[in-house]
Formats: sequence, C-alpha cells, structure tokens
Amino acid sequence: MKQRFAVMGAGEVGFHLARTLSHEGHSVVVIENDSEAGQRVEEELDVQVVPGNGSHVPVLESAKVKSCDLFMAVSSSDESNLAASVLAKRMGAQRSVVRVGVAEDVTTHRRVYEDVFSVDLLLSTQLLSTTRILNHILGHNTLAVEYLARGKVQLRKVHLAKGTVLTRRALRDVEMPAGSLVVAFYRDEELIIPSGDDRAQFGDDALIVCKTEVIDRVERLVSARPSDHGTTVLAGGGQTAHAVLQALSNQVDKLVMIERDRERAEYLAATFPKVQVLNGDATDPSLLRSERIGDARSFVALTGNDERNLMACLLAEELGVGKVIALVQRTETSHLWRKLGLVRIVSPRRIAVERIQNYVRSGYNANIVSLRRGQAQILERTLAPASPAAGCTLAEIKPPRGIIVGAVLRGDRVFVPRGPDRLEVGDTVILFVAEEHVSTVHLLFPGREPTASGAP
Amino acid sequence: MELQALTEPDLIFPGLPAFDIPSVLRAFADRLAGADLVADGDKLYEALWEREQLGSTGIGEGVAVPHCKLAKLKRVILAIGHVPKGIDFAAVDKSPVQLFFCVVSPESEPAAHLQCLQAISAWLKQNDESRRILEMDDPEAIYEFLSRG
Repeated sequence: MKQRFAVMGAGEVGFHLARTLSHEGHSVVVIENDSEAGQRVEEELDVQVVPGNGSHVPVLESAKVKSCDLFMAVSSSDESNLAASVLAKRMGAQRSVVRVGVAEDVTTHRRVYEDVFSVDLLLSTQLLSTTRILNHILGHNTLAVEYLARGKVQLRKVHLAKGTVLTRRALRDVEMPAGSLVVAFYRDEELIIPSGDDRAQFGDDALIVCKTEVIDRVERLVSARPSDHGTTVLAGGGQTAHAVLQALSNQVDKLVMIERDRERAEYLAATFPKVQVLNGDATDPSLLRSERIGDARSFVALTGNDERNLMACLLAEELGVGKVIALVQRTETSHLWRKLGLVRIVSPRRIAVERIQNYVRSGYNANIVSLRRGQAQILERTLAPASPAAGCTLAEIKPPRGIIVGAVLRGDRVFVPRGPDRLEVGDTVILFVAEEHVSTVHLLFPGREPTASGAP
Repeated sequence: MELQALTEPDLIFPGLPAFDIPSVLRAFADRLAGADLVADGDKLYEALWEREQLGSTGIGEGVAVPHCKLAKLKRVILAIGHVPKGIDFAAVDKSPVQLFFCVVSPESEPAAHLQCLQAISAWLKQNDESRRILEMDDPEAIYEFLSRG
C-alpha cells in the first residue's frame, strides 16, 4: 500500500531513506535546510523537496506532515530532530522516528525521550555501530539489542551458532548464567515462546533477556567464539570509540588506543586506566611496528575520517592483525573497501537506514520482539498496591505458556525471577507476552509503560 | 479453580441498572454490602475505582473484570452482572462492555485473588459461547452455565 513519508535532513541517512522508500513506490517529501544538499536530492531522486528547517511550523506545513504515515527526523542536529518530532506529531503525523547522536540517550533514557518528544522509534547511529563493532571483535552473534529498565537490562536477539548448548538440550537443562533467561525463539519467521521442555533448533534466533553484567557470558553460550580475545587496538578516540571502550573494558585481555590529539589521549587515559593509550598517528607505519600492533587479535579504525581509517586498516592488515574492522561513513565506497580485502566494515548510516526500513516493514513495530505485528509484545510494568500480581510468588502466578516474566527491577537490583521469588509493590517487571495473552496481562499487571518520571 | 465454586446464584445480577463506569462499580458495591459479604460498600467502591485508574479491566470482546483486594474479608468473592445494552468501560478494544465479573478478595490472599482472575480469563478463552450469558435473565441458569468448560 502506498504510504506518505516525510524525511527531515538529506544527509547520508535521509538521502538513502528517501531513495529506498520512493523506489518502493511510496510518496516521499524531503525537508532540507542546506540548498546544495536539497538540490542533490531534487536532481537524483523522484521526491518533493521542501527547503527550510524542519523544526519550524511553516516548513512542516509545506511538507504536509499532517497527513504523513511516518515522520523521520534524521538530520545531524539532535535538538532540531526532537523539536520537529513533537511538532510533526502534534500537527497530525501518525508516527515519528528520531535519530540522536549519543548512545546513552537510547540505552538509559529512551522512554523519557519517547514520552516528552512524542517519539515512536528513537535510535542512535553510534549505538547501532557500537553493537556491530562488538560483534566483530568478540565474535558475538547479536542481531539486535533493546534496552530496558533504564539500561540495566538488555533484550538481545542472537543467532544461534551451530552446536550451541541451546540446540542440544531442553531449556530446563541448560544452565543459563544467573540473571538471564531465554524468552523466545524465532523459527522460520515464527515467534515461539518456549516452555522448559522446548529446545532450539539449528538456524533459530533466540531472544534472551539479561542483566548487563552477564551479557558476555550469555554470548559465550550461544556463539562459537574463541575463549580469549587477545589484544584489541582501537585507532581514533572519538565518541564511538568511547562507547566501544566502555563495553569492552571488562571483556578483553588487553586494550590499546591510538589517538592523535594529546588532550583527548590524556582524557581517555584518565577515564580508562586499564587501557594503554598511545598519543600518535594510527597511519604511521613506524608507530604501529614499534608498538607491535601486528600481534593484536583485532584492530578497529574509528578515526571519523574514511581515508585515514582505510590507510590504518591496510597497514594493520599488512602487519598481520587477525581481524581488521573499519567504521566507514561514506556508504557508497564500501564496495571499494571489500575489493581491498577489508570485509569487516561498519557503516553507521547504512545500519540506521536498515533499522528504519525494518520498522516500516514490520508494520511500525518498534520492538525487536516481533517480526510481524501482532505476534508478541514486550511490556514494562511497575506494580502498584492494586496490581493483582503484587504480593504473589512466581510459582503462585504460574504464568501460562505465552507469558514470561523476564526480569524484575527492584531498586537498583535486577534479577530474573524464579518460582519462590515474590513480586512486590514498586517492582518494575518486564514481560514477554504472546498476543493472545495480552488481555490477561492487562488484568494481572495493570498500568502504563513507565515514562518520563520513571518508576516510582 | 472452578468459577462456580467462587460464586452463588445470589451473587449473579442480570440486568444491572448501570450506564457508566461508576454506576457499574457502585451497583456491585451496594449489592455485596447488602448481602453482608463486605462491611463497607463505600470502601469497596473506592477500591474498585482505584483499580480502574491503573488501567481499565475491560479485557475486550464485551467483558470486564473489575476487582480489588480488601482487608477483613473472609474469602474470595465472585459476583457476576450484565448490562445487555453495553457500557463504555474504556476497554482495551474500545468496544462497549456488557458482561462483568467482579472479584473481591482478602488482602491477605493475593495468590487466591490472582488465581481467580486467571480462572476467569481462562474460562472466557475456553468458552466461545460465553456471550450467551447476556441472553439469560435467571441467575440460576447463569450459575449452571458457569460449570461449562
């Protein structure tokens, strides 16, 4: 069915979204401030261009956002994107997607943004890239991550490697790390909410809820990766590198950071005392040789400049680094990288476009839980005194197949509840619910999704 | 948990005189207080109302399950009522509600309370014909109908 889309910002993400959606036969309007970028869109794509700033009402009126199915604010300014989303929704846009820069906005504060700025899907290109980079370094099989309970809990969709324990034993016989739980399998596009007797099949993806602290142990269970990661070298210490360092600092044996800017290098050294920070140029062969970078297991080029990343990667490859990974901003050059043998490339813009496309194709399901609308829901509920589930143990609740109490957030503590655990007033529970049980859950766990004020 | 065991014909009220959310809750509260099953009808009304504020108990397809827990109650009580012409109960599917299962439980028995709600939900799922209750004016007939499934 033909839909109407408005795209704010004709940068890499906006341009590719507009191109893909118009090729699919939809009606697309692009709002762009910069006349040169706007002109490029007009010349290359069959879409309408509205010049101006999308956070101004007259511009949104000209773009007719009131009748659009989805408003996508993907310009490089977080503030403009958020302001535009509020306005567009208020003016009648059905839904909105907003891109923000910093990962933490999504991992920890997503619900605040969704609530205050009326955002249906909030995404951070930095966060999406970080997940992909970690997959490459650690050999994880993560397909998507959703952040719950203010970032304390993650819901990870992982591909099950051949021979993983989950495909060999029934769930009740698999010793999952404490604080983790398998909540669903995807098999041939079908979502299966399993009971203890079920076993994954080779080729399935699994949906696993886990405390942030046990992610690596969970990934070890489901992936077929080597037991140690050796040395990891990061070239370039920008924001994405910061996020990668944060995630890696407890997971790899040795981390080396190469940063050109002295001040930034000093800052990183102070922030991550366990990381060896070199103040130097990652494209300097003599530095790489003298620091024996060739012995590293992984090398990640994150300088923010494609040419420098390319040079650094070619040097690292020549020195014999096992895995060379590059962040590539300009998506149209990615085939050239592959030609040079650099296959592990992460393109933030392309990942963002894919995420938004999936959102549109899923029938606007922002959760990763569902492949198609209407299969299952993920609900986060805080128990009030009048909530029927408050005061009951999990054994007493005895949730039927199709309802899983995935995690409980009590104060600062997060745990996956077992039979004798009692739910208390004030707990925030994360529930996975097959569609046919949603009405039962509304009855037993009433409430709205936690919003700006968070859990009481 | 058998639904029939939780109620009795005296607690089944066909054709409740109600036209909106407060009047439904009030009708149940008055009747249960009148039957001496709860000490204070006003308190029951307030507790039912408070629960509706957390989110409607209208679970869709014309059914609502208003419920609450009260102190100093002897056992779980299930009362049933219907309003054939339907009431806007802010149900999840936004359709008017005609059939009401009202559950009041002792505060000290949260598990029994929850299990009763689950039993109602399960009974409704099993009984495609539950709407036939709306055609019944006789409490005894409705009571008998509950033993199905």
